[in-house]
Amino acid sequence: MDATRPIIEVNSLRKTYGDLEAVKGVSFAVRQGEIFSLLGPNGAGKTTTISMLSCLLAPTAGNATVAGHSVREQPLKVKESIGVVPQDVALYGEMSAQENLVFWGRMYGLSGARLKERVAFGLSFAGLEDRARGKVSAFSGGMKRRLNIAASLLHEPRVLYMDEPTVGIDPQTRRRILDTVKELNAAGLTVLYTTHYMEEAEELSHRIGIVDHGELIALGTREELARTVGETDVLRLEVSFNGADREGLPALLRGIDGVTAVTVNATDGSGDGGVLIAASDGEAVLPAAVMALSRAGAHVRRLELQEPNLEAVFLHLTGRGLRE
Amino acid sequence: MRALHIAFKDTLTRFRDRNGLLLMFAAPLVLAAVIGAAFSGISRQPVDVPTALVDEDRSPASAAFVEGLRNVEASGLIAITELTSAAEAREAARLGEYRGAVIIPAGFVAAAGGGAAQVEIYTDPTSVVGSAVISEAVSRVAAGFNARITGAAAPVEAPAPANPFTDGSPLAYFAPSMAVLFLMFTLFDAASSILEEERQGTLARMLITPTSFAPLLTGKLLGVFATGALQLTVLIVATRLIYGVQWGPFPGVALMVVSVALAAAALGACIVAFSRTEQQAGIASAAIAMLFGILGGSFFNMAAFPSWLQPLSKLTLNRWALDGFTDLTQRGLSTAAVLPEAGVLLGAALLFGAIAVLRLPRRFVR
Ligand SMILES: Nc1ncnc2c1ncn2[C@@H]1O[C@H](COP(=O)(O)OP(=O)(O)OP(=O)(O)O)[C@@H](O)[C@H]1O
Ligand SMILES: [Mg+2]
Repeated sequence: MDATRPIIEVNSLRKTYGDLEAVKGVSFAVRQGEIFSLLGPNGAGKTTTISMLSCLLAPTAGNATVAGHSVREQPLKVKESIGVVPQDVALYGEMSAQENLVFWGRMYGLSGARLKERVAFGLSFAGLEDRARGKVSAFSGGMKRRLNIAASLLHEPRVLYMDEPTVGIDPQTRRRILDTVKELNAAGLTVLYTTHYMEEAEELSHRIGIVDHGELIALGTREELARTVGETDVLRLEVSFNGADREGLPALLRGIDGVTAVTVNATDGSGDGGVLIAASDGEAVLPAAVMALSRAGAHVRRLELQEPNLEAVFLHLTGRGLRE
Repeated sequence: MRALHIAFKDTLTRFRDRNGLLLMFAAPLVLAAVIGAAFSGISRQPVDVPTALVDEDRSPASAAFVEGLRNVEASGLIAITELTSAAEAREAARLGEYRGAVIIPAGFVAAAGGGAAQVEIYTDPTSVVGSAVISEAVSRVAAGFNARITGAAAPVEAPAPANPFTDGSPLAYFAPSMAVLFLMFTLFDAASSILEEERQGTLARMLITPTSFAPLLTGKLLGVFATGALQLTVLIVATRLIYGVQWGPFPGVALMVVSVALAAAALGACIVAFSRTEQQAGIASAAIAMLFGILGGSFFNMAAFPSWLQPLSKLTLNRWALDGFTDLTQRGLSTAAVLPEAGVLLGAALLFGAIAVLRLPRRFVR
């Protein structure tokens, strides 16, 4: 196989569910050895894309090749080349860690000494050697997550797909998973990662594709993407809303001369939150923005002029925040 | 190969699940005993055991022995009917008209003078209570009888039954009926495990491995069938050991087990193929299993059904399964007798299986 050829090539891949176009003709390529992230909000089409690249969903149009095999014509070859970590833990709770690994190993066609060796690897990878005979249903969330990843590595795939592997888990487990992704990649595995957390995409990825409403709206390294924001400044304000009309705020702020985009996030139920303002000149719009907020009843507690990051890129490209 | 691994995994998990085992084994064993007892009255006042008696010796000694047995009858343990020929008595007992036959052979009086006087008892070995009662009655008489006539030790030997009598006890009916009823519950539930796997994501995960849907479905269905065949086998062995139910010739029983398990597995797959959710499948399964159970005669002997219900009853798998099994357990027929029932069940398996196999891929592969 040509090492310079991308290991995943996606050409105008499309998926429609009835009237809904979940993926609208996406094209990108993942290079051998990189961590490639698809970053996008809920419903952007990340899982749908990954499912088509796993041959789990038939594309409505377009095609993709994985390790040189077409997802349309050679699904079994594609499946042999990939490992997929499902978004939710997909293991048998009534079976032990070891039995789960043996079963999934067999489903990948392993047997005999090699199966034994790979199951031992899986147990050690998940840090579950001493719980090998324990029922999975009795494991902690973190242990299940680790085993869930281990089960997709048994057949030594060339590419690993991870679909939002850190959603709804504790920070410690999340940290461990992110480190694991980096280690696996350092050992030579190509990783296709999806997330709606900007920080994860920034930390992990060599390159990032930003998806929104089924479209790939930007693609590049973190720095390349940041440059697309161009001369735009991004102001991040931490605000106590104090019962201010949150819905009305974006329109109010967009009315200020020089402001190009605004997003308002509520971070928790306490009435505090963040406001992101993109403007050609951040310093110039700052006084007007603070005035507008305080007139609306909100109180600015902290503010910073941000380095352009992926959130700013998303804001710049869509006029919305990632987590709205 | 992958199909076998899937089938093995499914069967293993089912046999490990404690609640599953209760449903598969404890429930049918207990219910068969309870219903069987309710119909036979064994658990209440002992009923006089119907016993055939033949005096071939026609001597004063044998007449005295008969009188001894009549005395026992008066105390209410056995109910004697005197017949004239030993062959007739054996045949009547074999047909279940009597629980046993007591035969005083010609030469009884001669033997009583010198060596061992012999009385033959033919009892149904599967009717534990019946044989015990008859043996007890005869040996009670034999003890007193020897003392009075010969004054010497003239042991009465009860030979082992010459031929195994078929079982007229209610368990010969309710052991298979409960086994089939709970087989349905178990297999419908086992079939719906594909929906459970869909929900928990393991189905998608299997489809992401280099496995196409065909071996996956084969594995799932094979697992359901294996579960059913094992369940029936265990129930047959258990009811044989615990209740003494005679299941008849091995080839016939094996054929019935395979046909019934295949038909139930295929029907289970069919139910799943038409259900959107596990809950829907669960409700449909319970409804069908109960309806089949009632109409198919799992709760009441269908011989007691009114005639207009009979054709309806023949629309259920349970009815055909029961007809086949009771040919063996109650009527003592040979393997050939169950061929029609097995044929109908295998035909049903083919029909339901075909519907399921045509529909399930569309249901699960997108
Ligand atoms: N089976 C389906 N039938 C109909 N619509 C679907 C189906 N699966 C997904 N969709 C729709 O397609 C769109 C893309 O969904 P998808 O799951 O790919 O998004 P996502 O980026 O993975 O989102 P999330 O971050 O929430 O996982 C959504 O609008 C979703 O509602
Ligand atoms: Mg998703």
